[in-house]
Amino acid sequence: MPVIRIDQREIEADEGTTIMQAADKLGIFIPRYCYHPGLSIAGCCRICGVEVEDSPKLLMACATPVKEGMVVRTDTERVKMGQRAVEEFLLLNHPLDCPVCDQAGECVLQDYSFTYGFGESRFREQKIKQRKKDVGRDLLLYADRCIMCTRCVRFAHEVSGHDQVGVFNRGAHTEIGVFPGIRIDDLLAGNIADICPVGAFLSKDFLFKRRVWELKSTKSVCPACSVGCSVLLDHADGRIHRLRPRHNPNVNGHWMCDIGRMDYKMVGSADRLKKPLARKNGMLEEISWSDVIAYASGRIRQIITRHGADALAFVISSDATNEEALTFAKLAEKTGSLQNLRLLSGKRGERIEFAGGFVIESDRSPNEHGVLDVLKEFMPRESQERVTDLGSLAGKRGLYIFCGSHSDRGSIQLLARAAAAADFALVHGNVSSPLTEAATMVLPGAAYAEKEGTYTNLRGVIQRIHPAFDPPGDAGHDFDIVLQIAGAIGNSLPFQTVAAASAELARRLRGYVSMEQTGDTGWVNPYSRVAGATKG
Amino acid sequence: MNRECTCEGKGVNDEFTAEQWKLVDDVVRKYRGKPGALIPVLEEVQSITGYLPESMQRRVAKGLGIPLSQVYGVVTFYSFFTMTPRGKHQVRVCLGTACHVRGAKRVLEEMERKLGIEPGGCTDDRQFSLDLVRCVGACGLGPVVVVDEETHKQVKVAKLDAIVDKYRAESPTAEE
Ligand code: SF4
Ligand code: SF4
Ligand code: FES
Ligand code: FES
Repeated sequence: MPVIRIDQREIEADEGTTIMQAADKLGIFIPRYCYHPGLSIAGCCRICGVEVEDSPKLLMACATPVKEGMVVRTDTERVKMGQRAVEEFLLLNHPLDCPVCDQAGECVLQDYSFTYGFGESRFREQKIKQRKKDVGRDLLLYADRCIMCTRCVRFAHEVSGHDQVGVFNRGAHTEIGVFPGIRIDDLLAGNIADICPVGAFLSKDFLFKRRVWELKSTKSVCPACSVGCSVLLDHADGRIHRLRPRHNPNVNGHWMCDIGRMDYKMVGSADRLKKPLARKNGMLEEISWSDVIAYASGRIRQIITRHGADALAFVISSDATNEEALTFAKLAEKTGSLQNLRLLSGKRGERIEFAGGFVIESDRSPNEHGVLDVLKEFMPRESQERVTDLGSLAGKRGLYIFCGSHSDRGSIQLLARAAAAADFALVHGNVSSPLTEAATMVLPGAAYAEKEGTYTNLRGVIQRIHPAFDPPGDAGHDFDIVLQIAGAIGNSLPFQTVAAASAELARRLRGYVSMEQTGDTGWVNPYSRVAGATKG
Repeated sequence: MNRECTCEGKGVNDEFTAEQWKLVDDVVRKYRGKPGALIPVLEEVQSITGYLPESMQRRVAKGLGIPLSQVYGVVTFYSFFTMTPRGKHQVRVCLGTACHVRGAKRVLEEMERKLGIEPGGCTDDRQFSLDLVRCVGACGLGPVVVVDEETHKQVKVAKLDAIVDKYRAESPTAEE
């Protein structure tokens, strides 16, 4: 492997990599606009010029492969002059409207102007002005803020494959755009606003909502399909304002889809359940937590004593975390109803594959794989084949349905009928639905952005989610709610915290690790039924 | 691939004759699958249709199986390609320095008035299109007006009628 020197420091670089990559490894930062690790190399923005011994001109670090014995300098006067010149050029026609630009605060042009630029322009002529254009479902293009890095063009060509974006015209009039009548409406379009280093491509959904420096970012996982893209929840004051993909080579690479990106709206929706409810004279009415736990556990005990444990069934949604699934299965074990434990499968949609290999999976729930792993660990072998057969619950007298934010119409209605027919139906979820309407009692739980735990994606990658804020109103943490129900029935469980449950999972399930051990990029279960990860 | 684009240039067919569309499709077929085909195809297509409007670019993109954004990029990059119709005769008024000091500005204004179009435009009868050029290398002869391949020297405003009429006479309009 070639040994090179960058700013007097030696590094053994990987064969076929570039000066940029070697410098990154050393922690030496070289500025970059057009370079993006998820895209091909363009070498067109010229900000990454470095001095290489024996080369008369500055070489572009992003596009120059390492060679044995190379001596690179990133901090000389010539390099700085080059950076200053590029910065001045980029600002010639730039409107400098940072005060009204959403990108301000995370704008690479702004940051580099500060670090590498002049602070002054010698351009006295008229700037070329352009109007903002509506170019997609969620995209605006402010072409005069563009610095022509072509990331967007390469993305549309290489990653989504929809090729809507191009470079038009020539010289000072060169601009990024779309053909008249074409819209950037594919399901990966939102990534374009993320990778645009300036405020040229912006999200309509996020436009003027918040200054980015007011946002806190919480690491989470998208719950909208079984890929489980690693994401950042950007939030302020208990509300999510946008989602961004978080780089994860095990799962989603650099990208996420727009279904998942917009799914956050459910978290702040008006349909969220905020208070425990119980049926009184036929109507669901608000009730305190202590009462609902006492009544619900009383009814469950009553059914067991009168009709036996087999009259009781437990259903859990594929959007529960592994730890919630564990407490739920433990509860079913304690009441002696493991044979009646069921999975509420995720909603199915079209499986969509993009040119660059990114896939949106047809199972549109985050944790079917994980919940199944847990349920099968507990259920008696002979009833396992019925684990998804909700029809087999007909005639059960007591139901505890943990439905999360499950939204598949068909199964919700099926369960609603079962709930209406049962003596007692305890529904534990976070949005109101025909199922909660049919319940005897309703336990309001948390949405994914409010909880802690792990999901296992369809390839067996176990990823951790972190809570961004508390559930709304009196809604509780699902894990604690199940624990309390178990405790009130008189069967307290052998763990009291999510962390302890996670450790228990790591002990019991083959290939599982505890939530602390998953790191930021997840743990790839080597024994998983499906191996490999999506490319991104 | 442009899944968004479904019109394939149809729906605006009336602009060109069936004969022209057929010739265009023949050109596209001839080059399909060959690398570097886009520029020669656009060149040949423009020689058939006179210009490359959106409908024509859609047809070429679809036919060659290349992104519309790429076709559009090439068409807007080269000044040789045009998206507005061109007249039968190209009138180019030089506004280079030498011509300018000899009154080319007035020549241009008069020409605009006479043809009733601005630079970049084309007369409704598609007889003339008007463009500006910056020096055609005949500075000693300014002000210069080039019509098609012919250079007219020392053009005075008073001579414009004669020049324009000469070309108009050469090409009978559709009504005649
Ligand atoms: S719009 Fe943004 S991503 Fe695209 S070329 Fe311009 S600066 Fe780069
Ligand atoms: S691909 Fe699936 S997990 Fe990824 S963002 Fe889209 S819906 Fe979410
Ligand atoms: S980052 Fe190297 S040329 Fe743009
Ligand atoms: S300036 Fe008109 S020909 Fe040179």
